[in-house]
This record gives sequence, structure tokens and C-alpha cells, in this order.
Amino acid sequence: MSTATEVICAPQQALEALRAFAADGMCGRCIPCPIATRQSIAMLERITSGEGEAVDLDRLTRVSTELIDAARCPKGEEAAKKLGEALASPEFARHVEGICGSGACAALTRYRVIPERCTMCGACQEACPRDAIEGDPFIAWRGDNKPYVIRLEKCDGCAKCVAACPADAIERVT
Amino acid sequence: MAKEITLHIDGQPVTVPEGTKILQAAESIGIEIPRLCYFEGLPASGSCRLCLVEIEGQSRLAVSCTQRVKEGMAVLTASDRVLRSRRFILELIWSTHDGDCTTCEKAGACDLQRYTYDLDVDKEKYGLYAPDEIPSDLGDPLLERNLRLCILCGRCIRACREKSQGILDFMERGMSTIVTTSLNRPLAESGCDFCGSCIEVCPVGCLVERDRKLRGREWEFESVETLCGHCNLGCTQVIDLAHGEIVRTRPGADGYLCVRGKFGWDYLSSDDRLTAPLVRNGDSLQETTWAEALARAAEGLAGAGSVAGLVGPNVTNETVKAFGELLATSFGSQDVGFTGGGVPFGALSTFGGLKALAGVGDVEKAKKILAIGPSLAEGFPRARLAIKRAVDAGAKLIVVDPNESELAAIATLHLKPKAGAEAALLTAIGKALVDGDLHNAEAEGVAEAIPAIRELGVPDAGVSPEAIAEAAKLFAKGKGVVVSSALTCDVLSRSAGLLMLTGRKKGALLPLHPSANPWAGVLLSAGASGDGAKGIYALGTDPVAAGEPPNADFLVVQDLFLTKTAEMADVVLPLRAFAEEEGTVVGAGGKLIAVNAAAPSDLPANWQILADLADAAGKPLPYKSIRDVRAAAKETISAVKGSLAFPSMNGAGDSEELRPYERFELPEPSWVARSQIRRGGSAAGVSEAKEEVAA
Ligand code: SF4
Ligand code: SF4
Ligand code: SF4
Ligand code: SF4
Ligand code: SF4
Ligand code: SF4
Ligand code: FES
Repeated sequence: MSTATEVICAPQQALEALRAFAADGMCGRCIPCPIATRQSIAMLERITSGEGEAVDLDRLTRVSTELIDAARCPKGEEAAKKLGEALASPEFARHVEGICGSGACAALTRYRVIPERCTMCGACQEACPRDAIEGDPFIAWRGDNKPYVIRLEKCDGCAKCVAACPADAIERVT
Repeated sequence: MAKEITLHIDGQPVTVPEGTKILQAAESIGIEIPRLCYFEGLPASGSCRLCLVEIEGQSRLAVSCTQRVKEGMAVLTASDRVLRSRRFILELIWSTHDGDCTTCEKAGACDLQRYTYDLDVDKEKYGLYAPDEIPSDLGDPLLERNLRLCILCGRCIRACREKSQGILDFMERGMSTIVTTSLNRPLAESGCDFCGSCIEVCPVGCLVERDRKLRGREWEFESVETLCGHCNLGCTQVIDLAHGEIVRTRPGADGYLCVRGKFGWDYLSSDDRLTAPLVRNGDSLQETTWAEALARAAEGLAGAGSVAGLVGPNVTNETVKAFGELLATSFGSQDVGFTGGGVPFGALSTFGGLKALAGVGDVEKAKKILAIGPSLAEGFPRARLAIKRAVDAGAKLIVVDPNESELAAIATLHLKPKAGAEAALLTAIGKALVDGDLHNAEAEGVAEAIPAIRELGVPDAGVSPEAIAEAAKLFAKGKGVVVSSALTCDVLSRSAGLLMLTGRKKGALLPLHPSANPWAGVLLSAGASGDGAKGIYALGTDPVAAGEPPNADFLVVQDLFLTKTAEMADVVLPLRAFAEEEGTVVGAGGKLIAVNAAAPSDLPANWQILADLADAAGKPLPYKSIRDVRAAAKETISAVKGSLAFPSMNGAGDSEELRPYERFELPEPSWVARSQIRRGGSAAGVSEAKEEVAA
């Protein structure tokens, strides 16, 4: 059984790298590097929470190329280069389109119940904090049991249902 | 002679001395490389990166404000790559810069604004990230710090360190760095002396004088340069006017003003200024016309029989000259006394000529400095700066001050005489010089003085003989100056004596005085007491406040305000302030310096008022214009300036009794009063003040 928190996508990796740089490597004694880092972190936060726009990708690309010249020390330069390498991944564009694809960004991840596997125990419904799962528990001999389904518009991708399901009947769809 | 280096900048050849920075080399051929953190005269920090240039054959861009020229270098200051990088940096700065040029005071003189325009920068490229908790006004008196505009260039930090108290720094770190005082305390609690040096270097509108706010845009300012009139160190001062009113003062070429020069101009536009003549009518003074007032003054003085004049230290040579001439020509009096605001000036009449006076330049170049007197650093910040610079350059400093002080902290030797014993201590040092054979035997007048000095007993100054001997040894050789804020006759004459003994005759003595032109009276007036005169004319001086009320049948007072003396006068005439007068002064270095009428005034020039009074008395002055007065003043000064001799150690100076040591009180920077007048509740404050004057 896999849990989503162990997975990390390319934008999150870039975000973590910059956060680590901001907390540790960066001195803040030149003007461009701290601002660029702060702005990049803000953009990556938007992207990984589903609010990213195509223009953010252009801005990030600009930081990654220009900060190499503009930063004062090799640390800033290296941070810019790393960002540039990360940006080569197609995952960034997909995030902006609304799909994380790895399960790392909850806001960009959705699940569905696999009807063939579902035992209709209702554990997922109990676990769902957003009341996003509809369905009735299985009662023998009743013909109109409502099967369990996840309402995508209510779901925020937290994956609690995945963890709760004893039958491994919930899968990621984006 | 430094080696010359030849390089090419944007294709143009340029030859500069080795060690020159690329940015300066470019400037020498008229190419201005944009910069935000670099400021001429401050150490470079290389932090804003705006001055990046491309050097052929180098993969990295180079920081032109810190990188030195190399032979054969080919520099591009505006290649595509350079421009891209500059725009990028400016876009980033705008993403943290919560400013609006339409209302910003700095607009028109702002480097960020200019570069943004020049490079057509997209201000919104990265949006705006300026958290609400960044304050837009830290609430300090006199100057506003709006951290929402700060671009962290660090110039103010370096300016404060180089010129003043060094209280600013980058605080916190990384992405939340701000520029402020330690623990972000208010300036007034951080040791700030409100010199405003930080304002002068800020490239944006983060640091702004409160008084100028909403009073005009930069491009509306008219600027006139003159000298600051608040002490005799003579810092150049630019006065900016908008719509005919003073809105700001700032340093001229030498780049420094102290709090008085920077912020102490409010008195000029004070509502308490005298604007029309007043004449006595029974118990009260009533406003009248110039003609009436001058006629009354002329008649009263002429009728008094004997007339004496008193002139203060804050008027031009021309005013002093015209004043002396008026008394002599029109009222037959040679009796013009000079009042230095309670400071005795007798010492200077026995001092070795104007060329012996030192200016700040002499102090900065000195190798040995003897700094005497209380509150020297606080009262005369420009002198403190000069002394600090000299000490940084390796000068030895001897401080004579009973108290601990900022200068004592950096002194090689700190001598603490007992109260009132400064002069005695100087005598003791002089004797130690002679006894230790450290004096300059060849110097003029020394040989004759030596026998008497050897005979002298050592006066008790409360300082150990060892310390005195050490002081004598320290001070004996090298370019040396005496800087003194203790302006007693005894201290000055003994200081001059020490300089004589060590053979220092030029640029050696700097007596500090809180007025612009303290020597003019000594040089231009006959120097009399006014004792027994029945008519007295006091110009720019307030003997009543100084505790010496004039005893006269007829009193004319000419001053800026209705002073205590003016209140008892028969005729009161308004006076133009120093900043409002064209003329000359005898500067700190003993040179004649021209000053301009930088601040506006509706009054006639002071010499003109005096000439009109002479006309009213029926005995006109021999001057047609200010130039005539200037020529006459110059002639008198030239005639006397070299004829004064050094006093001897045991001569005239010693015959005077040592007077108790008087602490020299400095005017407090009055920002509390100012801000109350200027801001909230202003209307009430001002009209009350007006009523007081009218009453
Ligand atoms: S937890 Fe799993 S098995 Fe149980 S109802 Fe939900 S999907 Fe079906
Ligand atoms: S992912 Fe979270 S919100 Fe969505 S259905 Fe499952 S438990 Fe509910
Ligand atoms: S500081 Fe400069 S750029 Fe910023 S708002 Fe003021 S004038 Fe405009
Ligand atoms: S006013 Fe002068 S002392 Fe105060 S912070 Fe600015 S530079 Fe420093
Ligand atoms: S206050 Fe002005 S001079 Fe100081 S760091 Fe900020 S922008 Fe630079
Ligand atoms: S040091 Fe003297 S001349 Fe200079 S600004 Fe201050 S008061 Fe004026
Ligand atoms: S001006 Fe050179 S780095 Fe700022």
C-alpha cells in the first residue's frame, strides 16, 4: 500500500531545494539573489498548490538564467542552475495544466473507487474529511445499494481514503 | 606616480591610473554605468549588481564598481547580456518596492526611477511582495524612514559608519533582511546624531526629511549654495527652495552637515522673525515705517553724545565693516565692541595672524592633535569627524577634558584636568616641552621666551607629571593642531603658546565657535567696551541674555527676533539672517570665504540698512554697493591679519586670572518643538506665537 506523502514531484523538489537554500546557504548580502529566491519560492508554492499560471514558468525560467549572472556568489549561481535543471522536467507544464501526476501535490491529484475491488465497507467515507464520498454500505439481498464514488468537485486530494481502504480499491486518476 | 593603464570601454580607448575601478574609468570618458549600491566617497560593497559589465574573453560578467582596470581590457557596458541582467535586477527590486512615483518625494531625483525609465523596465514582472508588517514610517523625528521603499543597497549603513555614529546595519538575514538600527530601535534611542548623512546617499525615497514633505517636487527646487552659519567650521550648505520657501538644506561639495546645518534652518522661516521696524511708544514697542524708525534711531544716537556699538559673531564681514563705518562716520564713535556671545576674544588679538588658524582640512591631515574642551564632539560634529578621520589615518590624539567622551575613547592620551585647570595644564605641557628640550628652538620668538618658561613653577592641574611629560613628548613633532571648544582667553593663548614652542605657525589652531564669523569683529572693529557711552547700537547680539545689560540713555537693537535686549530698546530694526546675506566671512582656516544670500528675505541687505541710517543721520557712508563694502572690509582685514603676534607662555596670557572653567552649553536640537509647530496642532501653536510677538 502506497501513501502519497512519500512521493515528491519535480516542482516540489525545486521548492524544497530553494527553501533549504533560503534557510541555510543564502547570506542576503546582495540584492538580486534574496529577492529572486523569495519570488521563486512564491511561484513554486503557487504551482504546487494548483494556482500556477503559464507566466510563472516564464518568470522562473528567467530567474534560472539571469540569476547566474546577477547573483554575487557561487551559491546563488548554483541555486539558479539547479532551478534551471529542474525546469527541464515536463512536470512543471503539467502542474500548470492542473495535473501533478505523482500524488505529491494534493491539489493537483484526484482519486476514484475501483468498483470491481470495492467491498462496500464504507471505511473511506468515514475517513473523508470533505464528505466527498457517496455510497451506502453493502446490505445482502438488497438490490439498490448505491456504490461508493468520489465526487471530484468536493475532493481535495488528501488521500485519507486511500489509507483507510482495506481492499486497496482506491486509485489515483491524475 | 601610479602606473597608467590603457583599456577600451565600449570601443573607446581610455587611460587611467592603475587601481582605478572600471566604473570610474568609464565615468572619466562620460559613460555612466548604472549603480545603486556604489556611492562616490563610500567604500564599495558590490551588492546591487546593477553595474555589471561584460569583459571580452571572460565568461562571467564583472562588477564594475569593485573590479580594477587591467591593461588591454575590452569592456562592454551596455551589451545585450548586460542590459538583460540589469533589467532583471530592476524587475526584482520592483517586486519588493512598494512605491508610487506620483506621490513619492524622491521622484525626479531617484535613481531607481531613472533606471526604470532608461531601461524601460516592466515593474510588474514579478508582482509585488511587500508584507504588511514592513513599516512605512518608523516614526523618528526629523527624518522619515519608509522601509517599504528600501532596496537594501546599504549606502546609508556605510555613510553612517564613515561620517557619523555607525548605528545602521543589515538586520535579520536572508530574505527578511532590513536596514535599521540594532533591535530596530528608534534612531533617537540608538545614538543617532541626526546628521542626515544617510538621507544624502539613499538612492530612493526611503529616507526623507520630514519638513520637505508635500512642499514641492524635486524638479521645482531652486538651489543656492552658501556656508552653514551655525558654527565657524564652515561646511558648505545648499538651501533648496520650492515656491519661494525653504524646504530643505543639504551638504555641498564636502558632503557633510551636522544636525544644526542639516535641520537647523527653521528659525529662518519662523513666524517670530522681526519683519518691520519697531519704535518705543511709552511702555510698548510699535511697528512703524523704515523711514520713521531710521529717523528716530539717527536722532537718538546723535543726541546721545557718546555712542558705542556692539556687534555679534553671526553677520558677514561687510555688515561688521559697514557698522563700524556707520558709527565712525555718522556718529563720530570709534567705540565698536565685539560680542562673541559671552566668549572672550581677547586672546585672538595676541594670536599669530590669520594664517595660523586651522580649518577642518588641516585637522584631517594632522599627525598630532590636541583636542581641548567640553562637548567638543557633540557640539562640533564636523570637528569630531575631522579628528576621527585623522586618527583613522594614524594621527595621535591627546584629549583634554575632565569627562569621558567619544573622542577620549579613541585618544592616545586622555588628560583629565581638575575643574577650570585646562589652561594650567597647557602651561604645564609647555613647560614640560621646554624642560625636556622638545621645543623647536629655531622657531620665531622661542629663544626669548625660554628663560622665563624655565623659571615658571609647574601649575597644579590635577594631572600627573608623567602624563604631562608624555603629552609633551607626543605633541612635540609632526604636523600638529590644537582644536578647542574651550574659548577662554587663557586656553586659547596657551594653546597658541604651545604651537609657538613647537614651531607650528600655519593652519595650527582651530578654536570652535558656534557662529559663522567669530573673527570678523576682532579684525574689523576697534575693540572697545562701550563703557560710559550714552547711546548704544547692538547689532545681532543680545547682551541682556548674556547677563551684561547695556546701560544707555538710547538703545538701538537690530536683530532677527525680539530679543531680551530688543525688548528694552528705543528702536528695533530687523536683521537679515546669515543665510540671507551676500558677503564674506573669515573662515575657520583664516581665509576669506564668500557666502551667498541663499534663503529668501524681504528685508533690505544689512549693509543697506546701515547706509540708510547714515543717510538719515545726514552723514552718508562711502559705499554705493555691497562690492564697495566688501573691498573696504577686505582692505581692513588684510591690513591687520598678519600683524598679530603669538603670545608668550608667560606674557599677557598669564597676567590674566584663570577664570573658573565654564561649560559651554550647546543649543539643543529642537525637533520636538519643531514637529509640534509644523505638524498636528500647528495652527494653534503658530498663532499663539504670533500673538506673543504682537503683544
Ligand atoms: S474503503 Fe475501499 S472497499 Fe471499503 S467501501 Fe471504500 S473503496 Fe470500497
Ligand atoms: S482524497 Fe481526501 S478528500 Fe478526496 S475523497 Fe479521498 S479522503 Fe475525501
Ligand atoms: S523611491 Fe523612486 S522609484 Fe520608488 S516610488 Fe519613489 S521615486 Fe518612484
Ligand atoms: S542621521 Fe546620521 S547618525 Fe543618524 S542614522 Fe543617519 S547617518 Fe547615522
Ligand atoms: S535606506 Fe536607502 S540607502 Fe539605506 S539601504 Fe535602504 S535604500 Fe539603501
Ligand atoms: S559642523 Fe558647523 S558648519 Fe558644519 S554643519 Fe555643523 S554647525 Fe554647520
Ligand atoms: S553599483 Fe556595483 S554592485 Fe552595486
